[in-house]
This record gives sequence, structure tokens and C-alpha cells, in this order.
Amino acid sequence: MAQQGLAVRVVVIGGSATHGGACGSYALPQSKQEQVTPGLCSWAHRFVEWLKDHHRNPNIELFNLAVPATTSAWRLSHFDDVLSVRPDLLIVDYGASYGSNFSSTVFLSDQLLSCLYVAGINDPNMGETPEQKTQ
Amino acid sequence: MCRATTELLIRRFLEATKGAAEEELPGIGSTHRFCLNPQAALLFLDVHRGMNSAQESMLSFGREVYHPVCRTYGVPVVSVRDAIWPDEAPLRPGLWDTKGGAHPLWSGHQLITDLLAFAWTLAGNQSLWGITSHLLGSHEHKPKTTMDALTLLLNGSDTIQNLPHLFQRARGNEVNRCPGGKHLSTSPSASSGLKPSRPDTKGWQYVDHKGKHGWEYSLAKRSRHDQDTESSSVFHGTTGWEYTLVNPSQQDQSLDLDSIFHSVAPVRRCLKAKAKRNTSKSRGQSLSDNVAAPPIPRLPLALRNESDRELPGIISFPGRFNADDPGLLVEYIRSYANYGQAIVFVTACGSQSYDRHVDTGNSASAAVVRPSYKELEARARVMLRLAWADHKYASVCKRSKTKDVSFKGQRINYR
Repeated sequence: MAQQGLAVRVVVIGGSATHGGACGSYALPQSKQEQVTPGLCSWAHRFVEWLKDHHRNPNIELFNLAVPATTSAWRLSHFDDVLSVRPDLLIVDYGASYGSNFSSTVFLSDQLLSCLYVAGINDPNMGETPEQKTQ
Repeated sequence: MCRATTELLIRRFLEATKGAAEEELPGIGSTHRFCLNPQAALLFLDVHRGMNSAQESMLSFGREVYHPVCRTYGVPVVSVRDAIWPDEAPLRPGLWDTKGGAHPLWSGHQLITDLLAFAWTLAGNQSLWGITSHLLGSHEHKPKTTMDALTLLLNGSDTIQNLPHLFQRARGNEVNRCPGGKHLSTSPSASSGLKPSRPDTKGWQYVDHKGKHGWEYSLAKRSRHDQDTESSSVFHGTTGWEYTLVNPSQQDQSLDLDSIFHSVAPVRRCLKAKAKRNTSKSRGQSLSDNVAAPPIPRLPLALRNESDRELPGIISFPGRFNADDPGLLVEYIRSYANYGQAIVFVTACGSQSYDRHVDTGNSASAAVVRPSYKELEARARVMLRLAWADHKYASVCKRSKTKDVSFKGQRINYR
């Protein structure tokens, strides 16, 4: 049963929640919180740890390519980063990003970027969200 | 809305992974019908739950964007939102950051992980997800070319029915979540699928106090023989999960309850004092029975062996209650041994501050522990004792609440 599994690359893309933002918080007063390394407490890391254990395969590797304050439109213009990893499993989680950045401006931006992408215009710099541009 | 970018992401992925096209769909052209191919798998996670969740447009994001697009392309969607908040129920305290944004907190991330793990296991069990055999390193890897069943399973409204009891509870069908502290018991109803395996008129019994119903335990109604022979009542869940409630007379060989109560002696003294002042025979049992021996929940015995790695899921426990006093809710967020942490919430369901965030409310206590399982269970019992005593008697005793207790030489923060 316990075979030496094949190397597997799990890639997750998303926003800050996927990145692990606030995952070290226990909803307790700050003094009561234990220090948790950011990212290691994210669902992505835990899930991959579970996969390793569940399949008894230590060769499962996580690439958490989530970038805070981004949407799927931004990722679309930076999708080569994802493909360059050659993922075996890609998990997409941009819902929470839209949840925190939800606005008609973001949606219009997404639609515009989508149109540009379809038209063959794929400028990575155009993928920034309005929030990023103001930073 | 954002369907365009979502669809383009999927198409870009499919083009790059070159999955074998099974058929052509109108309007999609030669885009591959099934994206789970021998080369790669794609999974969408719908975790949408923002702080401004009252906006209908935000609530419907996953359903309007992810679900229809992914359904078209046969991409599975694991919907945390549908599993946890299918009816736009209030946020559970401690799971999501309701102040600073839409970020799940530590336990929220654990819930997401649990759901993913469950979906993954489910897919693997049904041999629908070819990549699972890939992960296993099987040389007889035969990728499946259809995802319809899984897609329906994970994407449809029937998803909840196939989820573990953890999520069924969150849905609130069989077990109250004590939202806003308005509900008293988290017990199943007498006619539901969750009922004692050995219903009896002693010990545990289903009661209805002015519309507040639930299972109540009465130590006084049990004979010594009953205590010895029926030390617990097992609730069989409709999903096959079991919940065991253990009366305080049951001594776990590895758990020294006396040492626990020794460590919380002030609370115990308070209990005794209260019991002595207000002994009541109104229901044929002394209050001291009620006070000194509130039922101690035994955490669900999902861990049959100490070598098991997964801890049980969230449990809700009504505790002792009557028409005037609410029960307690114990949330035991599971973790994994390789992560090394778990969190336990003990909440008075009827408290007015229950619906407040945990970090500001006084009704909940929580501990982050690095367990062995036995140790975690023991600590949960300690916390339940403390919370129970505090909730029921703090105002009577008029003393400062216990800040810390020691347990086997270790300090446990409380509050």
C-alpha cells in the first residue's frame, strides 16, 4: 500500500485568504493567540499535508501562488506563472477576493481585461486591480 | 459578471494541459469537456463569505459565477459556502474575520481543509478522480474520463446530504446551532435520526420545557446498577457518525477526573455552596445532583485508536439545561497531528453575547492546545466544567472568574 508516490505538484491561486491571511488568528485576544507561521496555517498547506498523509506520499509539493488583493483577472494575465510550475492539481479560490473587493469597478475591470485577453492583448501590467493601482 | 475571467482561466488551463476532448459543446467549440485528464486536475473552491455578506450580489457570487461556468466545463466546485452557510445563516463566531474583511480565521481554514479533504476522499472512493490514483503512485493508473457524478455531487444542492455530519450540523437540519442564543438545545429531536440507541426513562431522556426541548440527563433517576451498566447513551447519526454522551460516573482509565476537579477546587466549592443553599426536591431530585454532576460530554469517538491521526469534528453539546438555563455548546475544531493544534470553544448557547464575535464576547472560552488526543479530551472536559460553573453560578458566587487553572502541572489559560 505504502508505495513511494509520484511527485505531484499542487498549485493554488487566489487572493489574500488563500495566501493565508488571518489564518493565524484564533479570534481570541491577541495575548491569547499563539504564534503561527503565516502560510503554514493556510488551508492550502493543511490540505497538502493531509494529502501527503492520506496518500502516504511525501512527494506532494504545494505551490501557493496566491497573491493578496488580486482577482482572477489579474491572475489571467499572469497565468504563465501557474503553467510554468506544471501543476498536477490546480485549485482556484478567488471568491473571497471578490468578497472583500467587491465593487462594480472591479467587475468592469475584469470584463475589460477579459475582452482584452480574448482580443489577444495580454499585458501583465494591465491586470492590476484598482486597489493595487492606488497602492 | 466575472464569468468571463473564470471561463478564460479554465480554458487557458485546459489548453495548456491538453486534456483529451470527449465532445464538443455548443458555444465552446473544441474546448475539452472534461478537464480532469491524466495530466492535471482543476478544482474551484467557493469560499465566498465577506464581511458585507448582507449584499445579495456578494452572497450569490459563487452561484452566479463559479458554479455555472464550472458546470459547463465539468470542473468540480467544492462549495464551502454551501456547506457552511447554505441559508445565509449568521456567521459562526470564530470562523471568519467579520471585522477586518473576508478572511477565514484559524478554525475557518481548518473547516475549509476538512471539506476539501472530504471531497477528495469522496471522489477517490468513487474512483472518479483519476488523479487520486496518480497520487498513490499506482502503475495501473486509469484516469476516469467522466466527472458528471462528482460534479453533481459537489456542485449540486444535494451536496450537503453527502457531507459528514459536521456540515449537516452546520446546515442546522438536525442540530441547532444556537444562533443568537435564541435556541436552547443543540440536541436532535426525539423523532429524528439521532436518538439514543437504548432509549430509557432513566438517565438521558428527551424533555420539552416550554418549547425548549432537548436531551436531559438526570443522575438522580439512575440507579447504581444503571450507572454501571449503562454508562453512556450512544446517539447514532443518520450518516453513521456516533455521538456518545458519558455520565460523570464513568471513569476513563487514562483520565483522572479527580485531579481535574482538584485543580478547579474554587469552582467546585462554589458549586457545593450553591447546592447547599438551594436544595430542591421539586422534581424528585436534589439540586446537588444537578449541580455537582452536570453531564460531561465525551468527545465523539471518531478516534477509535490512539494511533489515529484525525481528531473529531465539531461537536455541539446541550449540557444540562432547563427552561431557564441554556445549554452549552462545545465546538471542537479538529486538526491533524501533523499540524499539531486544535481549538476548543465552550459557549453558553443562551448567552446574550453569544452572537458576538468570540474575541469580544465573554460567553465563550477557548483553548488552543497541542494534544495528544487524551490530553485534549481531558482539557475539553476541564473547560466545559469551568464554563458550566461560570455560566451557571458566577453571578451567584460573586467572585472573580477563574483566570487560569493548572492541569497536571501545566497552566491553562481560561478567558
